[in-house]
Amino acid sequence: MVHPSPLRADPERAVPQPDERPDTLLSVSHASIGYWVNGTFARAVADVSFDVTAGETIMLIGPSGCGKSTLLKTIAGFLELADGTITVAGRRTLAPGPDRAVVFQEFDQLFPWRDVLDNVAYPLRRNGRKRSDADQQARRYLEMMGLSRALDRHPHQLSGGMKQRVAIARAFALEPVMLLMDEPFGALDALTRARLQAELNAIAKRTGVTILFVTHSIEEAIVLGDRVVVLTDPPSVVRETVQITDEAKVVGSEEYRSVRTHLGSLLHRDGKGADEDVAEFTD
Amino acid sequence: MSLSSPTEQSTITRTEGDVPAPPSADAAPPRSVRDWRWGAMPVWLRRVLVVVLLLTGWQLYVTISGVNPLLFSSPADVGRALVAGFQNGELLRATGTTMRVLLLGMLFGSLIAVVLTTLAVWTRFGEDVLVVFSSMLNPLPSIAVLPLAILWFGLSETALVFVVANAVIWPIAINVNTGFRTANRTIIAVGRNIGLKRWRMISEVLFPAALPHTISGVKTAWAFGWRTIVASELVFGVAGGGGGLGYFINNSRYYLDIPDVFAGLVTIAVIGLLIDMVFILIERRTVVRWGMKT
Repeated sequence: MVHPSPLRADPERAVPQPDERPDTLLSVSHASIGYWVNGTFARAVADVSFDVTAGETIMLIGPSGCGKSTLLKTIAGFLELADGTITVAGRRTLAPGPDRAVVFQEFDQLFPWRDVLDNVAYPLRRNGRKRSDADQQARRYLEMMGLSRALDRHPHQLSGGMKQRVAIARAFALEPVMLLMDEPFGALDALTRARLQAELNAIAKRTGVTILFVTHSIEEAIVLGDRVVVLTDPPSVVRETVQITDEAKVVGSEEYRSVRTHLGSLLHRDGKGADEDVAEFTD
Repeated sequence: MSLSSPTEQSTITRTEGDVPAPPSADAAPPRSVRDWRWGAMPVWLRRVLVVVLLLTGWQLYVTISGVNPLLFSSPADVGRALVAGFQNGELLRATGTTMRVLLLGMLFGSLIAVVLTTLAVWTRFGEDVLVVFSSMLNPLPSIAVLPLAILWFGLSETALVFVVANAVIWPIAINVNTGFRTANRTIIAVGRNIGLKRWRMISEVLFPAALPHTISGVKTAWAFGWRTIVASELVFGVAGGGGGLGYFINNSRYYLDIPDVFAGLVTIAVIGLLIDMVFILIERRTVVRWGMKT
């Protein structure tokens, strides 16, 4: 097990919310986030609240520039909240840490000077695992992602899809409290993307990890998610949270089409900034 | 644009037509045809041929022009001087002295450069110090501090090491710093995400990420150091035990032993060539293997 750094005293510990369910893992409460641009404060996320239960896969979707990535980076601890609170397992997310492993969209998120095995094993070693132990665990997770035969390759010898597989294996191998995925399949071709979605579903089911997944694709949100949080244009709030049933995950089914139409209409209510989604929605 | 494009196209087609098929053995047609064109030969052979050409031209010039041997030596004479110099140990000792000072200077210089750049990523103050110092001192020919070095350290090897260290700090520091500044943001974010703190972040993420820049910095530093040490020795003469290559060259001129002057120069050139090969090897085993250099 990877132990999240020991619970420190006051500042990271949030005040327990009275309405918080006991199995709530991630709690985003009245989150407001913005950037300083040329001396003025531009608000990307106005007031977003939602909870994620342990073991759930939650999708964050919204028009381009709606601050879904910003929100993920804040949960990861890379950005600061302007207002509100975000807690993961009851602790505020003030700094990045391996308890919230992130998979980025960029292919160059692997260390070029380490081979595939070491890209996964090294973070484990740095989190208190012995070398043999770390290697063994890395192998196990790489196998789950179908990478057993590429262990000694260097990242530049891998295709984009394989790089993302390694990054996913690395994040899962850390056995984090929760996984944050920032459009990890955004730069992949459609076929590879579909394959990786299936693989992610399989490994997520097998490990039972809680996942927050940012995407701009309605299809991806339906295929992967248990619930979909739809954000509005910036400064964004939650427009609606949509439950995805098992029937809706069958591509082409009546249920699937109706959820897709519903999500599409939620996204396009503002009528701008959603060109990519329009294309996907109408095809 | 549209007018010029047909021309461009035809140029491209012609160039493509000129490129010979890969002359590898397995791809060869039934009867093996040797391709004697220059581009088809292996790299090492081409390089050796260039050297042979140079030596031949040199020898021909000396033989035909009948130039005064007190001004210019033939490659044959230089070869004899080289062999003699290495046999009686004089040239070997001079080379050893120069290399020792150079390596010591490189060692101290790069240590200081690493400390400076590390401080520069840690603190804003460190960055300011590095920027101001490197922009002031990098353009300064470090041979210019030799008089001061002699004043401070006397006619000792320390003075030479000091001057060389001065020459190598800045190219290394500037390049490593550029490497740090341009290191991939995503990789750094990953480093933070997996819980790396300051020191490990620098040594295990930033330094390897900056390695391509670091190697080119050390290459430049090496060239600077080489020039500085030889120039210093020319001015300096004998320090402690014996003189280096610069001294050897100057002393040989003093005794009108012109082949020895050339032998000293050739030694410098050959060492430069060898060091360059070492750098190529290092690059092959690191940044090229990792796909960080194309």
